[in-house]
Amino acid sequence: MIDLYLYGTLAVLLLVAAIRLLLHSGPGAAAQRARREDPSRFFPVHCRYFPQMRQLFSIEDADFLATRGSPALLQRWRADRKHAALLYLSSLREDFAGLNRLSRNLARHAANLEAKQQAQVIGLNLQFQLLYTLATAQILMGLPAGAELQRITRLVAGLGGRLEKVALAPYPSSGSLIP
Amino acid sequence: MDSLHLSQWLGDLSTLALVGVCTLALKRRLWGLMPWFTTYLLLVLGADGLRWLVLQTSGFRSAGYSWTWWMTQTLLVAARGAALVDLCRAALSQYTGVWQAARLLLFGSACTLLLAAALRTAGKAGITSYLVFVERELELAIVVVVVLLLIVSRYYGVELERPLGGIAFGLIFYSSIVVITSSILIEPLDVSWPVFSLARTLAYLVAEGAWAYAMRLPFTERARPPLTTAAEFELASGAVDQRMRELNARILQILKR
Repeated sequence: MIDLYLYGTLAVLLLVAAIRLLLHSGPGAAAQRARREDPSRFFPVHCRYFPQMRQLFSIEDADFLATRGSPALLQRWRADRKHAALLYLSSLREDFAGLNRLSRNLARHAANLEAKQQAQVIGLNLQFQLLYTLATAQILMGLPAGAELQRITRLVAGLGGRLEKVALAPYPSSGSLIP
Repeated sequence: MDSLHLSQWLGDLSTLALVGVCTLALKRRLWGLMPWFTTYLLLVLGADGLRWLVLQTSGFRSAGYSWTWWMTQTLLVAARGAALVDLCRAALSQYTGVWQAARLLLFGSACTLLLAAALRTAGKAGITSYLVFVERELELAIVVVVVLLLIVSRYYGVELERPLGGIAFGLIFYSSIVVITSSILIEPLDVSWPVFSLARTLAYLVAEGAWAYAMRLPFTERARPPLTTAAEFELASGAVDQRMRELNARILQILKR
């Protein structure tokens, strides 16, 4: 009986997924995608303001305000800072999504495409999603980050580096791209 | 009208619909785009004719009819698998790079599923029950591969032009129903053969409707998409990858502050 539930559920879920995917791959969806794929939307804009935003994330300001301002002012400042930080993070995600779309468009029109190259892009994408989730959680929880979060961050960064090394190994000309 | 007669009546209707679909396929010269799928449609028509002949001579409950039904069914599942290769090729082959990367994934997934099916069905006793098991596993492999194809198409923004979308829907819809009905048949449930047959015939009628709808108009000439050379691609994608890494570094800086 378990087999029946397993196979039945699997078949229904896959069918529903296929119908949803088919509805998004028709000619109408292509026209909508073409509008979204205006070249200016691909390029990252928000990440340019990182130096200004970096100040927002520094803990020195909070220490200073705690000694000089009232508790109400400090609370309001913290709430506003949290709001601005979340907005900035979501803008970074927009930047990344644009690059991701550009990367897939380039791949679509490539005459030759290595599976490893695509795995690299998927790896970068996964790394970003993980980092984004961690950063959002950190901002929502308040400052500073706990030791556990720092440990996970190091783990993700290390994994990203290893993925990058593996993916770039067969492409010597891309070696200069490693920051 | 009991389920046996309803099933037979719907079976006749399905054969008529199939004649219409085959006529449309030949009129639209579908064999140029999907030769295996066209062959599959003609094979179904031939199998229906053979089943009808055996039904008339031996009767519905005869061993001869059961044997013919299952043997032709096994052949048709294999032909559906070949039609699926056609579908993947027709959908992606114009984008040579995507096709190069995707076929590895699609072929690998199909082989893994077929190997898993062979392992799961090994040791099943009785030829009919064995065929039910094999059919279910093969149909599940078809469903999974179609979904993977749709995911790859969506990921790279490759549009499934007419008639490919309708053909994909027909294939996956019928295969999903076969997976469900075969699973019910394998379990010791009180479901009679005519009810099982009725569900499949209805599903096939839906699939035929989707195929006919997809082929209702002449196919438009598919324009070959512009493709970049390996050097151009490496230059452009390298720049994009570097930007992505920069963004990841930004978030890391936020986390490490």
